[in-house]
Amino acid sequence: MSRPEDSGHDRPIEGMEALYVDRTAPADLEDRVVERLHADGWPAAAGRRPRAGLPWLPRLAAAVVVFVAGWGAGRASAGATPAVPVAPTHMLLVWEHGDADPSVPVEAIAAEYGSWMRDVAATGTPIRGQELGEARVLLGPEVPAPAATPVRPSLADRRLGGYFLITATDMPTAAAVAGGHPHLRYGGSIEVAEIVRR
Amino acid sequence: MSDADESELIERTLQGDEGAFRTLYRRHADALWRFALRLTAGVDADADELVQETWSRALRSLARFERRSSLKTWLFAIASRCAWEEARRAGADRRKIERLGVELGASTRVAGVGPTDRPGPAGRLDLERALRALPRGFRTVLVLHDVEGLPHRRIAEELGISTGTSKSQLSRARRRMRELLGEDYVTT
Repeated sequence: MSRPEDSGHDRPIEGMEALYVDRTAPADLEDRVVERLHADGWPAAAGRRPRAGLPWLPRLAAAVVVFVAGWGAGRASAGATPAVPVAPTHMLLVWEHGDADPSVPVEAIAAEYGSWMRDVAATGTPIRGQELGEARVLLGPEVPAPAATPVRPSLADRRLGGYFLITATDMPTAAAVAGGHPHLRYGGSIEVAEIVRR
Repeated sequence: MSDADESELIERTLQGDEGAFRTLYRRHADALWRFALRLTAGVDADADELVQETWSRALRSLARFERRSSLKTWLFAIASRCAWEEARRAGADRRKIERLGVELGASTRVAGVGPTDRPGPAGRLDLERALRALPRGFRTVLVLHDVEGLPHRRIAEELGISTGTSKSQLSRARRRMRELLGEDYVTT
């Protein structure tokens, strides 16, 4: 694509236009988009002024590995639930431990996680979630020296594997939702925290 | 697809008609996703998330969509803005980390990128890798200008920057790409 302003050495990179021309959108993305819109409160929120600077970076970092099938299934199901125009109130942090049972196939675990998410959504509890990528950089006073490579996210033997955002009336309700997650049966733990809005 | 047809779908979407939205989505799905894929340098999961964020923002402001441009153009503009904002956030995070002495380069550099003059498939692979290694802000402007064909004036409008910034980002993006690819880089 050449224009007068492209003359000289500052010319376009050859081949850029051909990149990805043969790619098509994933088949399941439509359901994920619809679920996202419902989680945003659509249709009630349609036409509201958009919030600036939504933090999509953390979700961008999500890796396409073990949990995608299960969590994706949960998200797809959640898309069929009625729109509830409310913001998340609690975050469930999914911690993985080194002593998790390795004998259970990851596909089975992913299926269970997806089933749990569908069940939660079916009760009318708005829920979203995502796995977190493997690479981390840890900052803070407990780090002896700034780490130059991806590091384990904690000095303890555990890894933050993902998170869910739910809407619950209070902490006990949120904890009850978390208490049914199959992750707890695989040696992991879940930390429930209220989302503070000041 | 006629403008009237699309306008009706937009109206029905605003009224909460999920079927109408899905029709709209499907009509733009592949083009928008490919655009997102370029902005995210071929990382499928990132492109998926960018598309979700784009539609999320679009639906929240759909009632104010004045239809002076096509819906596709509007969606691309939203996706561009999302990518640009993300680039700025990533840049700020990187600078903050660098001030703390962390050298992220070792962990974020894309392996295998380097000067090459290999044509054809190998050249394409190198192009993808180089695009991935490019800072996100550079990449956004490069894609908008060299792939989508937007003039600097439009890029500046959509990203909320000056035309001078757009031009300098493009120039630096091309220079960086050539450093990564090698001056003799060609494709077939």
